[in-house]
Parts: sequence; C-alpha cells; structure tokens
Amino acid sequence: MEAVHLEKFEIRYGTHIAACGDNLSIPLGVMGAIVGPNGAGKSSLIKVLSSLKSLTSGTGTVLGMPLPLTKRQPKLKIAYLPQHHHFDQTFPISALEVVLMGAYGRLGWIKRPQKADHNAALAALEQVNLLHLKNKTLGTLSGGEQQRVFLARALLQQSDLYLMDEPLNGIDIESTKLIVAAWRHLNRAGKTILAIHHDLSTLQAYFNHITIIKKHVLASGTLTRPFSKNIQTALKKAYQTYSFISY
Amino acid sequence: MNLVIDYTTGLVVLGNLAFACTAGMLSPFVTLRRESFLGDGTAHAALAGIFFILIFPSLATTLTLLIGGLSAALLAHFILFFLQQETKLNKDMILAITLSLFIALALVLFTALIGHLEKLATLTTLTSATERSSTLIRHYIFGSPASLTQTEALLLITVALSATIMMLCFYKVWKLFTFDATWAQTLGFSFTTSEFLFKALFITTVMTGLFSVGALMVSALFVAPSIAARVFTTRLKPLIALSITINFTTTSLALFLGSKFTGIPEGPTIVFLTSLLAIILPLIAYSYHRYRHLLGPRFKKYH
Repeated sequence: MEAVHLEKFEIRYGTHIAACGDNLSIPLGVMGAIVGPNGAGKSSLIKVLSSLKSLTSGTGTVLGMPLPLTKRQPKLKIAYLPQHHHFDQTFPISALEVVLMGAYGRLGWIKRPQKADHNAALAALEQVNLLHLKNKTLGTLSGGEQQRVFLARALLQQSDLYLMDEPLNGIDIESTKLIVAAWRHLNRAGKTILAIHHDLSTLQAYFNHITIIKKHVLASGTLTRPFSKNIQTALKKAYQTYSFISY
Repeated sequence: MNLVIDYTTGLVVLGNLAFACTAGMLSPFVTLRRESFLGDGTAHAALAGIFFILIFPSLATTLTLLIGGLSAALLAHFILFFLQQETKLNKDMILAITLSLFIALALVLFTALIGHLEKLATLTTLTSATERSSTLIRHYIFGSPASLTQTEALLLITVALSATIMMLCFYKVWKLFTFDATWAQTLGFSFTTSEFLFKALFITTVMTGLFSVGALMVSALFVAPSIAARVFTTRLKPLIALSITINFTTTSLALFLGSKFTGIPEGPTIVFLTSLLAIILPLIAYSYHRYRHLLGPRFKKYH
C-alpha cells in the first residue's frame, strides 16, 4: 500500500488546470516535501489529498482508500494542517481549546471532550513546547507559536498521514526546530508526512522524499545529497534557475 | 408593591425573556461568522412572507403568518447559500443584494396590502378582519412585546427550549465551523448539515422574534449583546453567557419601564438599551486602555 497514488489525474478550477500528472506515487512512512514555484498547484494537490476538492479526472487513492473520502472514519486517518494565517485572529479561543479540536473528529457530532482528551491535548502542547501558553488567546500568540498550536491539534488527531500547507512559511528558527522535531517523532512512529516547502536549502535536512510540481508532476522520489540527476533536472525545469545545484 | 401577576402577563413576560435569551445565545455566533446583517435580511424576508399572507385577511392566524414568514426567510437563505456556493461574490455583497431584494418585495407587498385593505374596508362584512390585518402590520414591523398573544408567547418559549437543546448538542461543531470551516470538513463533518441546523434555528428565532421586537429592530438583539460582552471576555462560552445576561437584563428593564410608565414602547426600549451598551462598553474599554496610565502606575500594565 502507498500513502498516495494518483493516475492520469487532472485538478481544474473551471477551465484553469491547477495540477495534472500521469502517475504520482508516494510511499508510506516518508517525510515528503512538495516543492514548486507559486501557482504550481501544490496547495490544490494537498486539498485533493485531504478530500477538500475532488479530482476533475483520473483516479487516486490515499492510504489505499479511493479519493475523494466521504465518510468520517476514513477521513480521520488523514490530518490536514492549513496555512497558519487562514483564521480569524480575533476569535475568542485559547491555545488549549484549539488543540482540543483535534479530538472532535473522533468524538463525532454530539459527544464532548473528556478528561482523557484534555490530558492528550496538554501532552500535545507540551510536545511543541507551548504548555506554558495553554490559556493564552490564540490571536495574541506569534505566527510561529500559532503554527505550533495547529501542529499540536494535528498531533491530537492521531492520524496516519499528515498533510501540511506551507507549515514553515514565515516561522522563526526556534519554532521551525520544534516543528521539525515533532515531525521526526511522528515519522519514527510510522506516520507519513507531506509538507509544501519553499526553502530548497533545507530540503535534505528536513525531508527524505520529494515531489516536484509545476502544473505537471515533474518528478517524485527519494531525496539524496547531492540531488540525483532526475531531481536536479526537475528542479531546473520548475524554477528555471541553476542556483540550487550546490545543495 | 404588588408582586402577583396573572398567568397571561407572566406568559408574555416569559415569552419576551425567552426570545431575548435565545437571541443572546446565538449572538456570538452571528457576529463571529461576520453575518451581522443576516438578522436584518431574515427579518425583512419574513416580513415579505407575512405581508403576502395578510393580503388574505381571513387566512391570517399566528400559524399561517408563521408559515408565510418562515417560507420567505427560508427562500432568502436558500438564495444566499446558492450564491455563496456557486459564485465568487463576497459574502457581504450577496447579503446586500438579497437583503435589498426582500426589502423591496416587502415594500411592494406592503403598499399593495394597504391599498387592498382600504378597498376591503369599504365592504362592511370584512371590516373587523381588515382592522386586524392593519394592527398585525404594525405589530410585525415595529413589534409590541407587551401585546404578545398566549400562542406567540408559548411559541417563543418553545423556540428558546429547542434552541437550548440544539446548542447543548451542537455547540462543539458550530464552534468548529465558526472558527475554521475548511479544516472542520477534513474531520468529516458536513458543512451543509451544520449550516442547515444553525440556519434553521437562526431563522426560526428571528421569525418568532418579530412577535416581540418587530422586523425593524430584531437584528440588533443578535448583534449588540455580543459586541458589549466582548469587552469582558476572550472566550466563547463566557461570551455566550454574557450575551444572554445582557439581553435578559435590558429586556427585563424595558418591560418594567413599559409597565410603570405609560407611553414607553417596550420593543424600541429593549433595542435602545442593548445597542447603547454595545456602544458605551467598548468605548469605556478603549478609553481605559488608551488613558489608563493617567490613573497612576498601578494601572499601567494589564493584569
């Protein structure tokens, strides 16, 4: 079974093609980066994988389940981490309450969080080193701290596949270190991580798998140091520059 | 002072307070969803439905008027939902055009209705029915909390009880969708179901609220209390509790003033007091944070 498998797929917004490809396979248990320039279709791909959008054509599976996922139980196996600035900064909610939302999927429509869920939320906050800010209003936290809160929320989901939309974008070094450490912890537990990433200089330090996309899937495979020939070619094609070759 | 009140008066007071509490409970969700104009839109849409029923005075009962109002409000919300899903127009644009459409329709029906009633009034057999229709028009536009009928009061109480049960059941999911609707869908919760449940409750509350404060002012009770309450808290549950308390207090005070002094209209007084709090409290809070250093060193920092 693969984490992601898409065949002859196309993702469209009206007549505009956001992303397409003949075959995309990402194995289970990788720490995968999805890279490409702005407007390359990375976010659209993540949205399809998290069933927020349907494939316009083609077929696909996530964790062996056919896309799009419609039932709640299969959806719980996938955790989605949106871009951190996409929420109302004035919303009256504490960091702990946000993390606790990670348990809502398992609880369903009516059940309320129990003591065990609260304890799990506190443990998730501790894992991202934010326990001391648990009662702070979310909007008063820095961008990096907010992103760590959202990561803690995703940790509470206890999913098998973590899909993250630019999780390190605009984040300071301390938060980046903590977020990457949390990913490694998840990865050691057999979880698959797929994150949209923009900084090519840190690719090999953080990830062991790469998918390069620029409307078409240009390449997908294991990340080596230095970059393998086909990854180099794909990166050149995606960014139309040679400056990354030294990485 | 005579503290004993008869059953009907008690029911009327209870009905108005029940509506005030329901509106206060929904208020934080309405403002956090940035749907402050939705109350106005719903009330005016409902008014169009009510006016349509009043064209046939003999058919006008509390039940038929409720059905007429609810149908029109549901139609307005269906248009809103459809436009939001199928077009790229902003939410406020969609609200503005739908609101205008139903206000215009209500005014067309109102003008037609007045002419129609004047014509009917010349026929002696229908005089009482047409007079009742004229009274109902004023009742639904301007509201008259003190003149609620027993059926209306019981309806308001029933809606309040249903709203409380629904809030206890769906608080978690409504909070989730209000905070992050996209992410909520990745957890497997249906946006359409959550939206339908919330809107059904909201529309019914606004519609029955016309019995109490009238179409012109009903939306204020869904917006003002949470604005006033935001001064005191940065958490959702206390915000809901405070909004309920504010609406309860202003309604009680207005009903008391209306019963003690002749000529004080209860409906506008409720809205006036609540809106006044929504303006004054944030101003006081702003002034305090802006000028607290003038009060001395103790007040310089947040506590």
